[in-house]
Amino acid sequence: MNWLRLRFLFPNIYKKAQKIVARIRRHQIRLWRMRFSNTLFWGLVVSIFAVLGSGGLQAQTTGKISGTIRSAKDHTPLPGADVIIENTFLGASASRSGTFLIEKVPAGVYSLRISMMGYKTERITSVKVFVGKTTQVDILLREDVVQMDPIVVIASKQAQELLKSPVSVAVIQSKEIVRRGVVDVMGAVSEIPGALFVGNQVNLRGSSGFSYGAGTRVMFLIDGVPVHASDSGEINWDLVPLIDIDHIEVIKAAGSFLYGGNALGGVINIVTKKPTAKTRVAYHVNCGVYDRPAYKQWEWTSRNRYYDERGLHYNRQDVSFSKQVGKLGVRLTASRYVSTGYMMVGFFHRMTFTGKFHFAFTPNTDLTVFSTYMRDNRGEPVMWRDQAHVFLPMDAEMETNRIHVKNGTMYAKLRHVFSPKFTGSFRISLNDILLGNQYDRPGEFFPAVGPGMEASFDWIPAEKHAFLFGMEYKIDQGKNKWIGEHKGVTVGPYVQYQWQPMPLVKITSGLRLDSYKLDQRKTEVQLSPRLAVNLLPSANVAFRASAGRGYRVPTIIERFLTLSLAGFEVMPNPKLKAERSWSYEMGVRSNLTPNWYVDLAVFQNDFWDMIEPTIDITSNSIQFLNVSRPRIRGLEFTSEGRWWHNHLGLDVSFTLMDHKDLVSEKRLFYRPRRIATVIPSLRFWTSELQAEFDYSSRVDRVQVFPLDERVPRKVWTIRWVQRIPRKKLTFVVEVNNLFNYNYTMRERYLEPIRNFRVGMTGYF
Amino acid sequence: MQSYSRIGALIAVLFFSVFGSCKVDQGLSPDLGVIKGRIFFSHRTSEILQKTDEIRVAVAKSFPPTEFTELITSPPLNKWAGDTLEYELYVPFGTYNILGVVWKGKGKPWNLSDVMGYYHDINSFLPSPISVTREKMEVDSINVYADFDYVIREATICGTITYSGTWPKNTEIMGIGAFKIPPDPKNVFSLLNVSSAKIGIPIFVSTYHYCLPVSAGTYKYVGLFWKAKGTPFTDIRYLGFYTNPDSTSKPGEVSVVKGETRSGIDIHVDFSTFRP
Repeated sequence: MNWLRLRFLFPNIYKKAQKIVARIRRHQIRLWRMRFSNTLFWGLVVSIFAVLGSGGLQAQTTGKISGTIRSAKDHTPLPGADVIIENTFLGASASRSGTFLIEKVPAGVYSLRISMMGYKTERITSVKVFVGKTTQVDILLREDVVQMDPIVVIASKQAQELLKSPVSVAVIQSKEIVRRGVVDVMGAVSEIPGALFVGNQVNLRGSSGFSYGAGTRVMFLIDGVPVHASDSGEINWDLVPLIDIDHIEVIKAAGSFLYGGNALGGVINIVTKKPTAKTRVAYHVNCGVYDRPAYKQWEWTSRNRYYDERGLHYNRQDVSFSKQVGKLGVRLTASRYVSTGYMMVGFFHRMTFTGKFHFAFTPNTDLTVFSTYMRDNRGEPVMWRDQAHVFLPMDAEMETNRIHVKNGTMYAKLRHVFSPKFTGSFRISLNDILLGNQYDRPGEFFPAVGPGMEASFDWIPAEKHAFLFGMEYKIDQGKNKWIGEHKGVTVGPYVQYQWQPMPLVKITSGLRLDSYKLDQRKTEVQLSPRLAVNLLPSANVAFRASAGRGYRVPTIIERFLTLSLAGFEVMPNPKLKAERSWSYEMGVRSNLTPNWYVDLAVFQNDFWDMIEPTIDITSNSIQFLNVSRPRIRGLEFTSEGRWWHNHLGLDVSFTLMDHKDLVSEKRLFYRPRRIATVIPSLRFWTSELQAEFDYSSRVDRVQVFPLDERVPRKVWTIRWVQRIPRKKLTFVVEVNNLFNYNYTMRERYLEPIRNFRVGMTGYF
Repeated sequence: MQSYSRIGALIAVLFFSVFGSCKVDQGLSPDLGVIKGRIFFSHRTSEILQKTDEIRVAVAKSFPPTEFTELITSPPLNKWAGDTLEYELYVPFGTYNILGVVWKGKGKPWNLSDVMGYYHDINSFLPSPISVTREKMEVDSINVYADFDYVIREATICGTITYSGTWPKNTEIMGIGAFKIPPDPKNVFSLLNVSSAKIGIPIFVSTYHYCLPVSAGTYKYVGLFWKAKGTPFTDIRYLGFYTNPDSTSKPGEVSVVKGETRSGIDIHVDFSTFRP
């Protein structure tokens, strides 16, 4: 039966059949259109990548660069050292034998930049690459006695020499962490000039103040991935064992143009170590004992005698294992950190496990997966009872205070070099934190979960021009009895453009647009621009000037916390506005000799709608309010130098701050006006003797007990560092707080008293 | 090698001679001063005590304190001996310009104006400063006379404050108070006779509706006081008052009985005639 007969015999059926056929055709056309548009879209994407990567990876027009990287001192190979071809994204890391190979390099003349933490960055110019041939380059790196010009990523999300950074960036390397006898991450960050801890909240040039853990104005990243608690915004400083840290990078100005919210007052990035090319077991062991209190009236336990085996003590053990299996690199670490504390209920017991896996699919594509899990069981003294009983908690109920924290974090980053001039990376991450059994209230807390993802691309369209663009997506979820259940979603596209119009001048501009939607509320939008100029009159001098916007969205805790605490009602304030800031800075850094640099910066940070916990005792309530219009301005001087064949060393940093609220004309809470550190050192052969003096002036204003006596921080530490290179061992013997000086940074909480420590770091 | 040993020895000698000869500063110490005394109460009845949650002694370095955080308070006092209470207050060394007895009612929040009495010069009624020094760590016999009438408030006075003219830019604090004895505009310390007060009412507004809890009785002056930024207590100014309906230049009397709320006690402030 054909269509014609059907039409005459069964006209109704024919009409229905025609309709069905027409519907199917329409559907087919829609499908075609969709397929076409999808094909068009992907075709466009592929075309863009193809155009951007035009011919760059074609084997028939490329050559190779290979060579070795060795130590200038003893010619031993330096596995893990990085070689980058400047103005491209091509590069390689040295293998266990110190060799490297960069393939598919378009024929031409290049400059190579060779870097490794702890060594001076070298540049080799006029490296010629010919089609189908391999150019051999052998490099010797000299050990860096002082961190003169390390490679940093944090300032522009791109690897660059610190001297060319558009903003003030400080770096502390793992070698320096061992040299300074640091026991934990907070101790390592404290070594950064201008950084000061009040409680567990870090202040960079006075940025954060203190708010009992609710909200921080400093962004905390692990390998560039944000890892704040999703409900409170609090930083967990023990997520990464010290032995896993390659170096710590710090921006001391607003960083929201690249990093979004929370980067109001600075950014801290912990860069973890890569799996080593050689199989290696590393360890870091520390143990210390607390001395007796300075005054007999303060003695509170028979355990406070340091020669008693039951004395108040702390100890820490970190062990890591690293191995390369074919294309897969593995690094596994376990850490245990235990302390009795030096005051009642000051104990803690922390365990951390981390794993880092690096898989190189091809020389141009690799995947990195990092995960960490941390358990913390600690007491929380909160405040002392009175000045005659500083080691006892404020009341007897607090003696049973316990806090349990479980924190898991992971990220996976896929990086692909599409062409020598175009590279991209894609990251997914998850931060999960569970506070359990707080103050003996089991089951009232639920995990705060923060999944996120980011895609970013680097593009060098022409010489002297570089683009970075990308987008970040993040969810912050929190749920417990005290805040209810809330979910905030952040979407933040960003772009950065670097231009070098003249050899001496580099201009960096950036812009990020963040939109934040909390529950079903109106979306909050924030635009964060930045403009920076670098002037490089010589290879050893760099001037910088920058202006950038910062902002911070209030945390879920700050907006919704409803709680009765010690007779006070904590009131919610869902209408809290985001804090905003503008950071201005000018600075100069000069390498005066190969082992001596100085850095001077003047800065001004203006804040709007600063959020403070405001206490109203007439109504027995505490509420987070947008209250103040602060301004912090000042200058900072840093110098590190070694003289007399490196026998004599002097590290100095000094930060002078003028801070006040422009509305009330009062000083800001929990900030000193002067911070200084001086470390003279003497080094003979493999021994080094250091004396460290840490000073900060009296905190100008505190919020809860302003009439309490406050004193400046004046802490002396002496340290003997003994290296045994043949055994790959470093010993540290240290007396912290030599003169048993008693001081507080916040109300009624005595900072650590004199303690004696022995540490050992090594690997085999 | 030998020269290095000599240099090391020299540094060690220098180190110990410098630090060995210095008096070591150890920062905070457990040493606190103590102020001791007795509080003598009038109008103490078991009914009043049932309404009392806490009685404490408090000191402040500045007067008037604008926030509770400017006070150092004793623990709740309970050592009754007849109509007197014994107290001990541990304080950091320094001079305290006022010591007062503060009261908190059952189920009520703290109120800065709930002061039952203060330590003063017996002749002038001016608050007497108390100095606690390392040399004189214990200051005894700081006795205070306290009256429950100042804090047991079972009536309320309400009204609207209206402002005209431009607010002085240097305005720091505004307060409203009710007085049984009219204060002397020339003597700022007569403010201490206030029966009930609210400190820190909104500033830079055009109107404000207030309610002031008071004890039953007759109030001869309900008025506002004003303080400029950065000025001492002695520069507090009387700003405006509730006026007698018959004469706008004289303070009006307000009588309230137990449980009553008296409304319409309105006050007008004209900043154009005020010279800050």
